[in-house]
Amino acid sequence: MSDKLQTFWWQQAHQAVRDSAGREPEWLTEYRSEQLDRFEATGLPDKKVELWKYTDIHRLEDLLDNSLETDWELQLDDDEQARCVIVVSDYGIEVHGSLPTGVRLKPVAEAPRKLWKPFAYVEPGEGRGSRPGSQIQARAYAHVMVNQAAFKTGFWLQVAENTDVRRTIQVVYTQHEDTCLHVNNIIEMEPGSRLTLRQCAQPGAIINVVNRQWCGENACLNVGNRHHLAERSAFLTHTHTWLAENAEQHSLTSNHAGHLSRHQQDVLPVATNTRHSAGVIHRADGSSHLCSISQSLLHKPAAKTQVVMRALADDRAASVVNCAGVVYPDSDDCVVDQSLKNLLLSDNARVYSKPALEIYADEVEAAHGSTIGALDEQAMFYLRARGIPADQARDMLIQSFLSEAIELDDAPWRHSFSESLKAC
Amino acid sequence: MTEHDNNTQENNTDNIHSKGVTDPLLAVSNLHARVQDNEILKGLDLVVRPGEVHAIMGPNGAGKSTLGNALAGHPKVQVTEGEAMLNGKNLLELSPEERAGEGLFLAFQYPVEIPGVNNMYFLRAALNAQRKYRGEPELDAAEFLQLVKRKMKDLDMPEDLLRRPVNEGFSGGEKKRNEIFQMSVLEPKLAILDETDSGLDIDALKAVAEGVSKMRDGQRSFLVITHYQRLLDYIKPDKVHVLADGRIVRSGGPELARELEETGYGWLEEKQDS
Ligand SMILES: Nc1ncnc2c1ncn2[C@@H]1O[C@H](COP(=O)(O)OP(=O)(O)OP(=O)(O)O)[C@@H](O)[C@H]1O
Ligand SMILES: [Mg+2]
Repeated sequence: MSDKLQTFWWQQAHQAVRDSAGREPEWLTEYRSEQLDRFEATGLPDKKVELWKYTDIHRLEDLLDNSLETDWELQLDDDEQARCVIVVSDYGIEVHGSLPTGVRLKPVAEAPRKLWKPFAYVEPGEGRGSRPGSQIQARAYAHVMVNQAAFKTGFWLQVAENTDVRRTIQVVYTQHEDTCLHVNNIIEMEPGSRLTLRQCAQPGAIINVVNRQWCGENACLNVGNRHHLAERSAFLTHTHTWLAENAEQHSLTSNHAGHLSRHQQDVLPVATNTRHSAGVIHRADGSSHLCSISQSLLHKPAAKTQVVMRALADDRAASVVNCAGVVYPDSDDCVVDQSLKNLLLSDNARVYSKPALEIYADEVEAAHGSTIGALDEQAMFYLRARGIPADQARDMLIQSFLSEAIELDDAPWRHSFSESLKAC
Repeated sequence: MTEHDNNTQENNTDNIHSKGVTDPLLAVSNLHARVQDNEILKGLDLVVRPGEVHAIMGPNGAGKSTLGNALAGHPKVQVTEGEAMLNGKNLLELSPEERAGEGLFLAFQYPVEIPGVNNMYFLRAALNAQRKYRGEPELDAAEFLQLVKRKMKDLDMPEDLLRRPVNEGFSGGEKKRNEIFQMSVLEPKLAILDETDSGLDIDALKAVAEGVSKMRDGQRSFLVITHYQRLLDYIKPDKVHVLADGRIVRSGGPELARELEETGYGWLEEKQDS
């Protein structure tokens, strides 16, 4: 293995498997070991892998020698005392403030085996979910495989049946010693429960998070993500969401900067009448690489999914937004709505935007669109003609553009979510 | 009002070069302008003195909006020749925002929708940018709100429009009223109203006309681009000009507007033929 990143990751995973033995359930050590083998066999994605065509995983190598001195520390003001903050780092999991009633938090290794469902890409039996040429496509998930083998920490968060958690729980990811920190979380929403989560990251080098979200019948999980990164840091997330009957999952994400910031969510209804929406904002500037991927794999009827992504690319940055919706046979009456818009603000920036729909069922309502453009010259003139200087006018139009991702049809959660974009 | 009446009389002499009483607020001479590869303005002259209302009429495509855009500094309109002075300052050397700061206001024929940007926020940004340009102190949120409330009452402006994003989902008439509302808050020296009357219902037309009348103070001037006599019934113009093929081809008093209403622009062709 000549690849610096691959070697680094392999060593991390190998160590983790060894450390796991005897300290974690046997099946978990085996699972880690399997994932390590798979990672070894698959290798890292290159440019032939579509999901990694424009954002380069090898950028992570630039960060392996980062010193992890950050001047960030968690500050709780009076208002935030009322909230519950979970800090996840290589030192483990710390809870600041008290957990709301009905919420349980444990180390992920204690989560029952049934919640560790393997992801579709690694499960050959579920081949319909994977794309043609799946050996190549599986490589797209190298960082997930290595995470599953090497994760050092993570939580299992459980919300009890019919509990409506009114207080927002905030999750902060940070690191102290490990240049690449792998975190593995499981969120389990029992039937009828409701929770709003805010997440943000303060990586000093690389943080790689995998989330499994289980939403039981009639449960609703709202997530606000604010990933505003330092220039020489990377944050990767892979989230897999399973939705039971009438379950909902909504998210709003604001991504800004970072050497590599890559976020993927796969949504998988396991029963009928599910709802999912995602609003994603990208601000790729400087030399950052940003990538957001949303996949809705609709195996059940009457699923509704709405994804709105608004991305801007400036300077020498690269921005990738990708949205896939697959409606499988017999999943009738699904609604899929994908809207991707991109602002290209510099000749040296790159934008890649791809909506994709594959529909094999009847009575499906589907819409998708993707545009790439510059700032509207007439709008710019309108603002300037009112006396607003060009720079300020430009900022206002950018705000205007990005705001569309917040204004999804699923109005009830919109307001509380705009809040979650504020400081972490 | 007396001052205004005086002005009217003085201007009815129809001699734009008459010396003395007041220096022009706007002086445009021999203005040539291109849009892409087409020459649209072909040597246009116009003088507006403080306190005057001038109406500009003329057939579709004559270059009326292009004139407004050229004066306000639209990047697509290239001025190739001539001069445009506002209050003694050369407009053509200034950026659009500087022109606004100097007291020029253009009410757009087609106001732009800006989703996600709140009307009040936008207007306060505009007012404070202009004040900053002029070296005046900026208004804080409370002061601004007070000002806006007063203006809203003056213009009978529905409050919810201001809480919405700029022009988004506004009806045609609401957009035009919003332009006038902005004008009343920004208090320009010269306001160019580009077909602000088009698409207004009768009540809205009256509200707009009243808004303009209230702002007339003997110093502030208006350039009213319109196709119809209607608005001019409410805002009595000091002068009426016909703009055709990039030039002012005829000027007169308010009676010219009434005449055009009857005759249309057929005579322009005869004139060209002869
Ligand atoms: N962006 C542009 N590109 C090409 N031609 C343009 C552009 N803008 C204006 N023109 C042309 O310039 C000419 C003058 O247009 P302008 O909008 O000034 O006319 P107008 O007198 O305001 O007409 P109307 O009464 O219809 O509003 C027209 O022939 C128009 O097609
Ligand atoms: Mg026009």
